[in-house]
Amino acid sequence: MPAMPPTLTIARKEIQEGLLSARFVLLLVLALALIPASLYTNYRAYEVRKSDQVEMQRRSMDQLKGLSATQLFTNPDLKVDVYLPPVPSSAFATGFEEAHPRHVLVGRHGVEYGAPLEVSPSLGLFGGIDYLFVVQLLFSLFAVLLSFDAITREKEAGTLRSILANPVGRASLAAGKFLGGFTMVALPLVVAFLAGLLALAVAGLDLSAGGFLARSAWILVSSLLYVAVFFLLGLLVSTLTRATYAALVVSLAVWLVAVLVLPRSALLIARMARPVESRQAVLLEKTAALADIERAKGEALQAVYDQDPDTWQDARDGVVAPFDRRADEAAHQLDQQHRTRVDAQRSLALAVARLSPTGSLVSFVTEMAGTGLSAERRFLTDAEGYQDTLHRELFAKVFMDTLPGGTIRMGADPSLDIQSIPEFRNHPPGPLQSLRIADLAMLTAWGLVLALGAFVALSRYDVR
Amino acid sequence: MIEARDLTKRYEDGVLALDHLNLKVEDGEIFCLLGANGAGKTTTINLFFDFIQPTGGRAVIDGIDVTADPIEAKKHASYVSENVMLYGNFTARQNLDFFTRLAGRSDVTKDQYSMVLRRVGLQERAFDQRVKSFSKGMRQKLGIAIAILKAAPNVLLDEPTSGLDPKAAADFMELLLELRGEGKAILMSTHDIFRAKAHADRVGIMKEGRLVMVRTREELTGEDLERLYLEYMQVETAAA
Repeated sequence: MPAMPPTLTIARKEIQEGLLSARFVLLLVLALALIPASLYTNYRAYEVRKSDQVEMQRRSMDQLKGLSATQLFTNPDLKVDVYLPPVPSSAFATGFEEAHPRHVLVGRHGVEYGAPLEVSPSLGLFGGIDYLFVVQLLFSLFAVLLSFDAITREKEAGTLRSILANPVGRASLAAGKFLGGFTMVALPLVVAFLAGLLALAVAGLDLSAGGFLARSAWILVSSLLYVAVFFLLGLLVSTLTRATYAALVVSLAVWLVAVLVLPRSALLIARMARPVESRQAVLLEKTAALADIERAKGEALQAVYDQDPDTWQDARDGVVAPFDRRADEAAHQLDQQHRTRVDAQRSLALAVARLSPTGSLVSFVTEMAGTGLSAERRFLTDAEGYQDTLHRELFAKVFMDTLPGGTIRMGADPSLDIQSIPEFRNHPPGPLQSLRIADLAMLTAWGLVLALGAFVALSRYDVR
Repeated sequence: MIEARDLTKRYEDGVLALDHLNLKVEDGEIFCLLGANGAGKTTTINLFFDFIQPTGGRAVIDGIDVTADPIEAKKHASYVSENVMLYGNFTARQNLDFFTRLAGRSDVTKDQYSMVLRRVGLQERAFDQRVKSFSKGMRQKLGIAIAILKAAPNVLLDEPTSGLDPKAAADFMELLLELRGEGKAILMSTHDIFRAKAHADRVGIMKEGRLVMVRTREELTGEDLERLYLEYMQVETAAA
């Protein structure tokens, strides 16, 4: 029988030791309690949101289609509510679902954000638990707790010398420590993940529909990569310190900064470096600009009216067209400027957050779960597309001109058919479109750097 | 064969722990290194297992330079420390299995493990007991069992009988004699002058990193090794 490579022998020993450890048992119990339960309850919450969204969207369209011609003319600020359909994969990560508006108002001059989703007070104060939270905090912490003393423990027990007195290279030792130790963190994660999928199936989700399994697989891959990074972090600290106590203190300090401080300070830094005015301020600015244009339009119409009150309507379209165009452009420009500044701030925040593996994981999982930044952006893009449709089919076909003297003139294109206005369609990205290779690459890079660091440090480690 | 050629070690703090050590332990020979604490005995053994790097000279095992090819060199040598360090949560058999596999052997059967454990004098009921309940003597026996199963032609021991009761120490030395009988080269650092004289083929005395005396068993016949040891210590101290 060929001899088992020392890496595998050490990995096997690590697993044997790990299975007996309280840390492993505790992690397994917590993972099995939290992951399936959070997936189940979050999926139930998704179902409620989904039915709410369907109902609200239906009501919004019914309201629109129930408007009489007079109501259409007399309501120049008519806005149509459109709702972002929730996705079942949001069970993995709530993401921005509770931070960003779930619906927008599509009006004559662009798209406005609606009120955010109602958040229960306890959830708002303390935060909820989802799969992402469990991996992000619990698994990263346990990965560090399972590896911070991987080398120092062996040194203090004297077994490091017993191992290295054999034909075992230090690279093999590091690899064996990683393989065996990582298995002890990955095993509870995979088991709890599979139990979670089972819980979702029990809750009524068709796992094979809509690329859900592909999304789940990618989320699991990124989670394992993330956990590996933190395991390697602990291993590196273990090779750089001489005593278990020191290794624990250093590991926890680094974990705290990487998981809690750096990602949370990203937005703070971005807000200081690239400040952005509030949406409300933009709305006020837009309203003022549009009012100016509307006033000028009224004056121009009044001039035409004064010239010949009998035929002024023939010239009306030619007069108002440049003002309408200017109004659209002004609204679009203000929206666009705001969007560009928001995007720049978000990009900076994301770049800073990605300095930590946690930033990359959160970005990757929320994107894959359909609750990330791009889901909101895609929703807004779709809403803007719908605004074009509404403009073409509705807003451009009705008018209400207010002349300076207070006279109001209303009209509608004969081709206006409010019943044939199409419904809003959201086009969420597929699993491959949601794939953020940059985040996976960052996690991989972190893993490689930490593994290299651990190997170099171990090769210089004083085993006396 | 175990060989030190001008082997020198100066630590980062400037302490010269080993100063041009030259010694050779032939196959089928027990060489005992005596010396006070800090004389360089453990440093010598550390260098043969690549635990530390020499600052000069070479540590050679069966013709293989330890620094140049530590993995290959360590295939040829077994190590038994003052306190054999094992995994407390593993049983004797599990520890034996782990270290035997690390040594590159996966052909050892459960019966062979039992046989070796019996040979080193471990009681049958201890085979499947967790090692954390073992006495020091039992752990040393397990350590020698690991060395036996590694089947390396050279054995280096760092004060292996220190702290053992006389019976356990005597049993341990009996096992070493068996290994010598099998043709193994044995280098043992010890404070036990009595057993060194009784069992070693050659005895060396180290002081401040240097090998200041080497005597064969024949040369020591009729000599009082303890007196000789103390004399060397005093001479060296006086010279210093």
